[in-house]
Amino acid sequence: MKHALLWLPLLVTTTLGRVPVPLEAQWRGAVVVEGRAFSGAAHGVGVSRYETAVAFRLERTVDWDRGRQFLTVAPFFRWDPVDPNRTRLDFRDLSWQGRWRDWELAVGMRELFWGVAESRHVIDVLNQREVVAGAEGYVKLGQPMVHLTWTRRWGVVEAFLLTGFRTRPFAGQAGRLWSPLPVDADDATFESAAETGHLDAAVRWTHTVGAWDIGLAHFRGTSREPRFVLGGNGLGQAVWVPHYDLIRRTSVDLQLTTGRWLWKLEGARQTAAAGRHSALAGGVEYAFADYLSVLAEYVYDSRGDRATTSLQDDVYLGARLLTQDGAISAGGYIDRKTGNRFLNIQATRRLTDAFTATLEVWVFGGASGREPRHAPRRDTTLGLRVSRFL
Amino acid sequence: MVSPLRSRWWTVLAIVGTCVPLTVVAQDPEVRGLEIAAEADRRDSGYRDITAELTMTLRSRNGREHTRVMRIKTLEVEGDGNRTILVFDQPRDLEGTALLTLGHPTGADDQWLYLPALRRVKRIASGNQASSFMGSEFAYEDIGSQELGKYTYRFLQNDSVAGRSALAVERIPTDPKSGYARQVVWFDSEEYRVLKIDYYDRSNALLKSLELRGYRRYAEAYWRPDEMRMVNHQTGKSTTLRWRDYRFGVGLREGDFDRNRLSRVR
Repeated sequence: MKHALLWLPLLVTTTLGRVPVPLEAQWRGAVVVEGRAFSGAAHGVGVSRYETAVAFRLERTVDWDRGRQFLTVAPFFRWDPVDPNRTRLDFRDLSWQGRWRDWELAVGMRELFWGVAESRHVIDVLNQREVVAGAEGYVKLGQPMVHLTWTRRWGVVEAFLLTGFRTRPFAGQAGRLWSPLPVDADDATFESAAETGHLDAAVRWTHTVGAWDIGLAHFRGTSREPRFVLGGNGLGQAVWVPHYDLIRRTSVDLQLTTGRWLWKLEGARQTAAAGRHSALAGGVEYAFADYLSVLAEYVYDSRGDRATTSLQDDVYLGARLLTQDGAISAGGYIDRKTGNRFLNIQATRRLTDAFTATLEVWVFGGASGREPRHAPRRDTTLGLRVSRFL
Repeated sequence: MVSPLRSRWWTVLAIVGTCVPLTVVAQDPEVRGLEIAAEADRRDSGYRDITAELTMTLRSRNGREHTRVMRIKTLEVEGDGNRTILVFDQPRDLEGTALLTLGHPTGADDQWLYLPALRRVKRIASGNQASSFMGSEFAYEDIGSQELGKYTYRFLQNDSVAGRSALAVERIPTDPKSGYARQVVWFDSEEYRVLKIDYYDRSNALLKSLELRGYRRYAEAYWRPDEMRMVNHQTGKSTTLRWRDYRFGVGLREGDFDRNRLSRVR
């Protein structure tokens, strides 16, 4: 059912050709050159200690019908001169949207965000993610969907029909961070006989009541996050084979904003044939001013050591400082049981109106043996990213 | 229907009515101060909605400059504070970042920030009114709606600002959380436009001065300056706001100020 992914871009591209002119629109985006160095014990044969890539992000929105209809095109292209598996063309957004009174309809590939927490995005389930060693720790893949929104006084109700499932890419260093064994992403298995063609669906209600922001959601379909089953590849080597379960996932997100204090909580309960589990992330943020805030959160996953994340019982502490020339953010996870630590510092500086440079450090501290399945194998990652905005 | 005769009577009464209190009130600076502020407020209300483009230049003591370009949309809401959306155009790395503010006459405003890189809308801690607006020399309370009840007034004197005849009025914030002990506002005596404001900090020392220049009349009713320059006398820093492309009554609705629609504001 790979064609499910194809018809949407085609539809949007052909519609785009018919859009009446003149349109108020322009391209915006960036060219990003990034390089990373990985220190620590090398694992695997032929695994480079360095990673480089050039990425292009573009975005253009055109509207007509007095702003009631939009087309958004947001291609993403990454070229890795060394690792061809990391070279990828995708659309973060390639969709048509229309809005009439309280109703809104969107059709196409889209990227959306759900949730309030900073340490882990527990309830954000619509888009597949690609794990990368940088920024948020992942980038999202566009999700083909039909998205209906109904805005009322008592909240916003959204219904999603997710047409076409996308498997998680495991290319590059980041795809290998959590385990010494390679992941055989090409031979992924599915609980659904329809495989990537299974039709997934979700509903969400969000509302703001005074200082409270409330969200409830339910998702039914193929889990974006795979389980890993030990298998062998054609050469007889042991590999992890991703397996995608069918799940039902109910989630809640809450934020209470009182003065300088922001209380955040998001949690999800997931049911699959293999069993149930729950996960949550929540805590508090304190804003000294609009340019300086600190936060403390707790991340939990009831699967414990079987979780597909090392963030299953961790405390997160972070800080963020915005300056006139850029931003600095730092955050660290401490595993409550093993004491393993994971620190991330990012500093972005604006060089000119069109250029920024970001320096990024990820440091793993503690013994990986204490979390054998999840601990990153590299001790320190250093990254530099230069962005030219268009 | 009012007969022509009766309406003429009313005109005569009105003229007499406005002259008499003026002469009496001239002795009472509090009433005179409030009267001036109320007249300025009356002349500037009822515009319903505005869009404009704003260039903000922050200048440090040693002359280093930072420039932000943004578009602003404001809607007056009956019985509540203004709805405002700011969308950044420059610096380019912030392009598309949008700030939604739902103002309230009392209590804190509600604010949401849209981060385009993450496609994420975040509810943020609403800026304390005395805190700086985006690192500038303007505090939130300086740029927020200047409702009459936010101050008590006292007429000081007839004065002149840059050769223009002006009325100097002292106003004292009613909110104890304000960053100021008092302000002195110069209104021009013809059109009641604000020409200059001096801000005194909590220890009553002169903190900042705001000068407004290049007033133009829009929609045949509302005067708006092209330039607002705030100088901080204590730090030597300054911020200049340059306004262009003002449009009044463009037909914005409350639905345009929805946090779920921040990604598509233009």
